[in-house]
Amino acid sequence: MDYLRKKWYRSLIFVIPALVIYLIMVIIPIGQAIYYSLCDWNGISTPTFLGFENYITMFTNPDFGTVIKNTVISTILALLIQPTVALVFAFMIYRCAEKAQKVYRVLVFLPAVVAAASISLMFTLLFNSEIGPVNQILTSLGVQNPPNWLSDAKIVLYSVITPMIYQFIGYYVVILLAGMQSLPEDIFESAALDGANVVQVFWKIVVPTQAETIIMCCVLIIGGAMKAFEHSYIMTWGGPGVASSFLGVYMYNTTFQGGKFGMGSAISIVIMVLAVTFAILLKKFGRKFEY
Amino acid sequence: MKKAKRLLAVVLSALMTSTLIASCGESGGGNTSGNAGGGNGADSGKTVEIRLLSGWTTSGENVSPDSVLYNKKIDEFNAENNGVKIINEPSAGDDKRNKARLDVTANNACDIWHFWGGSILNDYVAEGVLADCDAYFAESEKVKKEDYAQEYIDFDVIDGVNYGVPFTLAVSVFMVNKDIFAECGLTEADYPKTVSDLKKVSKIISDKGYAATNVGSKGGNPSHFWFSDYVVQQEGGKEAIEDMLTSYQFDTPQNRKAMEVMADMAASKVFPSDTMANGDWSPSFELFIQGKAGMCYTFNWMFTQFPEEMLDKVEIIPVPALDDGDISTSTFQEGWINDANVMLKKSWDDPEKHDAVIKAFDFINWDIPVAGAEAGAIVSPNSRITESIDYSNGEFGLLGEVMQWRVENDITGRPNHWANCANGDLQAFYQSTLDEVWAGSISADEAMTKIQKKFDEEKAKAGA
Repeated sequence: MDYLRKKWYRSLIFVIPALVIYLIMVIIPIGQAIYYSLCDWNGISTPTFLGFENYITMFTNPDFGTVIKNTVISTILALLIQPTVALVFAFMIYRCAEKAQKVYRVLVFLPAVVAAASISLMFTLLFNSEIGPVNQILTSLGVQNPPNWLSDAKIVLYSVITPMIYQFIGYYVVILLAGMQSLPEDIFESAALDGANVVQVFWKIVVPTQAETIIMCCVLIIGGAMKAFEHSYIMTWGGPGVASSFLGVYMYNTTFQGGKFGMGSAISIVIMVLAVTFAILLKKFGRKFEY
Repeated sequence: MKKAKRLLAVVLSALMTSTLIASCGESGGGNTSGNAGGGNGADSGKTVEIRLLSGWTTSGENVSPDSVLYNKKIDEFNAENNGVKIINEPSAGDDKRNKARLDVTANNACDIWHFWGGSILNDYVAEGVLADCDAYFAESEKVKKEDYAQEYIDFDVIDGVNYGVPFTLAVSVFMVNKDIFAECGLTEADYPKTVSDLKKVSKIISDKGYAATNVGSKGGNPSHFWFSDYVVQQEGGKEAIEDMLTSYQFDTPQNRKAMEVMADMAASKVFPSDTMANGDWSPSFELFIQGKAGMCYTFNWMFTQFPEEMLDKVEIIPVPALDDGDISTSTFQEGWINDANVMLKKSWDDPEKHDAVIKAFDFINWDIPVAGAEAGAIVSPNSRITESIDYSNGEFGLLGEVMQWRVENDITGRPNHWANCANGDLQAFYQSTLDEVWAGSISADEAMTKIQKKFDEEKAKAGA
């Protein structure tokens, strides 16, 4: 220990390359984004310092309120559905024989490795009221006037959230399954000897022991929800209006479609602040459930 | 041994750090448009590289036949070894707009761009990024300014300076699927002539399970052209659109009336029921060519995807007119100059690149549009090119039919709102609001109020 303290500068040499990369790739861009968020800048002109005007304009724009609401709804739904379904799936797979485990693991993980653009296009076709199979099935079941999944402002948000949630469940299944596989076998054997049934094993052993992993999944879900972009952009461009826009889409449209790089930077700062805040809160809240 | 190991570790770390710093520093050269031979321009026997920003991508989904053709032409041009090498840097669709902006920001912009014209150039002009194209016309031996109608040239004139060479003329078409009409018990006499007719026919067609028309709205396509079509039918409509650029006045009687007609059409099932899923160019056109929509409204950039065997099944007719319209739709088509070629001022002013820029710019203003027009991929605004093509020889498919119909009916073009919005933010907002009207989420009055409010805000910012 003393040796390490005395020779700390040697360790520093090894850390410098990583620090330089981190500084160039993360810290400096964040600093620049903060500066640009305080400027009027169209990406071509010289940035003009405005103070907090971009933030004031953003927070007083009703569209921004809708976008925040959409992002919060998608985050809550993802937090409720993804870890729950993933935990159940992971437990079901965990209880299978080893060979079957491998097959199921690949099957559930498959959508997560497919490009989000492909999944979005697939769901756009599925939900297309004119030619999509969803409404054809509903019509054949006798449903009169089936919904316009991607045009009705009241439901389009949920149509866009559906593939977002569906696509990444497998990702969390694999994480949780790895967590379960790291548990010693004898816990389950003792539970079986004590006469615990499957439901009891799930609630009394799996859920508490996986709390930390679940919290980690939740942090990932929040991060993902804050930067959600592809599904909404490809399926609806965030529309009609901003009915299915999330912060990421709103930032993209403001920055690139609208050519407002200053305002776009302000939105990106809000995304970063929200993601970090939620992650910290969740981490603190999650400590109560650590096993 | 221990010492040697430590020394090696320190040396390796120092090497890694210095390599990293050095590699980060090397890219600071700014404009990478190079002079491959390190030489003195196009005529000195050295090859000058000219970077081209275009949308002519040959990878990814929906590669258009014209992109393949243009890339082939670029390869042929480069194979001629005439002292200029064109490096195509394609970005499809709206990504081209993003690339242009980011490249300029990074001081790494392409030398020549196949871009859009009109107000979209404003930001670049304000920063002195683009060159005066009249200077190019004066020096070019291949491309002449007088081959373009003055009104087309005027489209790219900003503060008295011409910044673009018109490339494509947007040509619209409205057509009916005769088979679907027959299946619905409709005859030629039922082809809609007015909005009232259109609503009646739409009800019959949609009751049969088809979409009446393919006019969806996603990102304002193709809906914004359709909307403009109903504004220019009214006295003063064309002027109202053209004045919008400087007056920021969107809430005019003509626009308001057209917006009310749009909302009425949406409620009367004239549009597909899912306007977002069937909006944008490809999905809306696909709906028609798959036989799922009774009528089609589209533009010439979709024509190369029109199946030849379907040509006999369609009938081109004028866009159904407003019941009390002032200007007959059988006299015009929506569509104006859609895009333009522009040059980077820095490259034009660079004596080492100047001649090469002219050669490369000649190529994209002459050779490329000739190839595109001959293949039926574009309609060139260059009269010498258009007059050299016989659209009646049966080789041009749908475009040939549309061009003949255009000549027979003495059709002229009309401007649209999109190109006359003062900046990209207004364009995006206007088009997004049309999506809402099409989807029935807001009323015509709400749309007009919302758009005018945005125009007022931008006017205040611009100090106009």
